[in-house]
Amino acid sequence: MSRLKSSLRKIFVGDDLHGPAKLYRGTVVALIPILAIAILCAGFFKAPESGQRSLQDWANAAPTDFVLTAAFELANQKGKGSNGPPYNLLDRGQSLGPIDPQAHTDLGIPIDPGNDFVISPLQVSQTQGVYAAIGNFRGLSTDAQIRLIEGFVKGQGKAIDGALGKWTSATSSQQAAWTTSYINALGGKNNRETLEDDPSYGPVKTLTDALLFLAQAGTLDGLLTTQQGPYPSDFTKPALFLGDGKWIAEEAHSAFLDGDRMAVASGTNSFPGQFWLTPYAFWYSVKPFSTSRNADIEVFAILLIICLLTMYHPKIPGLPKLVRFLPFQSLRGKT
Amino acid sequence: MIELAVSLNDPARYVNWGPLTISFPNLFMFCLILLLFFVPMIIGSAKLRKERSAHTLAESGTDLHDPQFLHRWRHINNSVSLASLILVFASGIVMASRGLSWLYASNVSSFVHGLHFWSVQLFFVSIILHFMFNFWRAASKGQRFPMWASGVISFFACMFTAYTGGLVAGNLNSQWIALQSKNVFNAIGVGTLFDPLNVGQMLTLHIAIFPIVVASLTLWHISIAQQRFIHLPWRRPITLEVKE
Repeated sequence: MSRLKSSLRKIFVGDDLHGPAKLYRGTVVALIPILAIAILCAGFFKAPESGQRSLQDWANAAPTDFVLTAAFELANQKGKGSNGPPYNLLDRGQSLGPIDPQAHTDLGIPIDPGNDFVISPLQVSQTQGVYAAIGNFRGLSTDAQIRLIEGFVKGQGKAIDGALGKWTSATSSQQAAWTTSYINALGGKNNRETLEDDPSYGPVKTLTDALLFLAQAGTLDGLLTTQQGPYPSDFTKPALFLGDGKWIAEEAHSAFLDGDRMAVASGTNSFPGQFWLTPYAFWYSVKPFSTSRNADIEVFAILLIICLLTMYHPKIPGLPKLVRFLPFQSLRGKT
Repeated sequence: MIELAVSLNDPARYVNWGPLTISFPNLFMFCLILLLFFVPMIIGSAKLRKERSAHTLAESGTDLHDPQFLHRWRHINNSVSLASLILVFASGIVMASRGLSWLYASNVSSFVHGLHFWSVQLFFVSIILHFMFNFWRAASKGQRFPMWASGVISFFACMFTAYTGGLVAGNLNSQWIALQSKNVFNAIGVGTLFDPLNVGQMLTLHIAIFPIVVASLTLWHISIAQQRFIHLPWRRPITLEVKE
């Protein structure tokens, strides 16, 4: 046993080798147990499963939240994730006292929430989205198919044309009056099924219902990504729209991924996450950062300080000497 | 093996300590790191006491930097860090060659994905241990500062690479992390350059640019470390004199 122990020690640590050779030989030997542990973990626990949420999932699971968010987008209401640079100037963004980098960012990813998320997809859908919706018809649940048929029976296609024309030709104050009226009414009822049509909504109800219709059929996900080209790899628009709603936050909350629980460090379900980011994510759950509107830039400043301290602590006068008082120095013996 | 698979796909339980909320799996990883740090320390300490009882301390001869047991343990940990990084690269190359849509296509792809995921976890456990050992050993002192600095830069590069990997994993976690963290990049004024919601950009950064950065920094760190592997402790070195 002791012979095995000493030969293993020799192979692993390589007392007869020094410098790089010692490390490289150790690495080659360590590959075997590391591979074994990784294979066992991958075999028994596998990897986190898929389960991305689409706009279609959102529209089917929480239609009221979907149409309310669409109305918010039409109203260009502030406080959403899609506000501020580099998307638009609807919000000034975050600042750290006089340091205000977001306000000086160029609008490199231009997004006009109302037009990009609602009006433009509906305009495109009038020519090609309907065919895509029909193509998706077979894959839908019976309920969704019934809704789809009902939509066509009611002549929604023609209604959307009229609503789009009414919206685009209206003044911005008129548009604001329509959206405010609709948001107040829907926010009060919190159920789009029981909300009756009213002239004060203008075309907003028709437009948001039509968008819901597109999303439930699975067409909107594609329409928001194919504006830049037929084979997209940039999902900024659908992701921002999804992020503006409450539903994705509720989904994340049910999977324990919300900010208070340190989203960045949390893993998928019971998998370990990026636990090494805990010293960063932790700050989001303590005051004043947990309630600050500038939390991101403030916590980033803390991260920067942590990074600089980690790197340059030996250069700070007096600080390195503190290490002398740490308990493990004693392991090296007394002077 | 597939039948025996233990599901980690149920929501995790969380522990609350005041403002700190931490998931059980993450807590387990922290406990594992602390265990792998303190247990060798305690054993090493006991062994050192034993050695001391056989020797008297004097001011001459060779210095004893840290107990042989800890010295070996640190070397094993260094090898484990490098080995797990190699495994991360190997499994990553297989995944990159098959593309993002392959990730959830079959049991084989799920297994390779798992291999990548778990080797990243192993890598970070060993690299945090490496960081802790070298911090307590004052590895940033004097001439060894470039070695320390290269290690810290490499560590942050690894964290950033792992973060971009999390963004392209294609699940609710990656979606939510992308939505939350985009606010940080927007707030510091680099939102146009770095868009976590742009899967194409994150994927190319994760599989092409950052691996080159991490590999280069790691080789740089190792080459500096190998040139300056003479360790000078904070305190005067203890020396041993064999009892007659």
